[in-house]
Amino acid sequence: MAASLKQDYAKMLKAGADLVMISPDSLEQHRQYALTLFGEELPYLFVSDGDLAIARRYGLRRAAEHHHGGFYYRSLWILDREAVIAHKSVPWEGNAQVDEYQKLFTLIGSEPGEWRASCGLRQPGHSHAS
Amino acid sequence: MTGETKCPQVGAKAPEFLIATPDGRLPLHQLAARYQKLVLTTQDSYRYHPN
Repeated sequence: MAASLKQDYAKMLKAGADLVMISPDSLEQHRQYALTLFGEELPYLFVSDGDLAIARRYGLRRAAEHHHGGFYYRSLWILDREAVIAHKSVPWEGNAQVDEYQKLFTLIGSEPGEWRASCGLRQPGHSHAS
Repeated sequence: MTGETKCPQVGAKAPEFLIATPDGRLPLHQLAARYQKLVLTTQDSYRYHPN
């Protein structure tokens, strides 16, 4: 699974893009997450938003805990060289829906991504229970 | 959407924050300037969504 994520990250770089992942986890928690789920660290940049300051500035903090737990909307933002927002998806279902995940690659002008079914991604048209 | 702040709109400047890179901590706009596109994704804590 990590191999396909790394391949996809390489495609992003090839397309002239880079990826920053933001979550409320600490750097060490993020590292443990990668090691637990993927068996190795992930190559892209990570920002720890432990105090949810970024979530507040981007309007991503849930007012109440989600029924699956958590207070943070998953989201996708694509910025241009001027840091102007060219695209946003809030909430973003790219972790669970193939078409949403692939749209990211289309938007940055990349070849399609490889990361899918093995990690639970659903094909378009399937309902999402969360 | 029940966030405390409304989401910034497409066409707006992205709110700044610092990013630790191999070249040190950079403001978002400086990192964005290095790439054709900069992709940001936010995730809830992995303990809630381990996928």
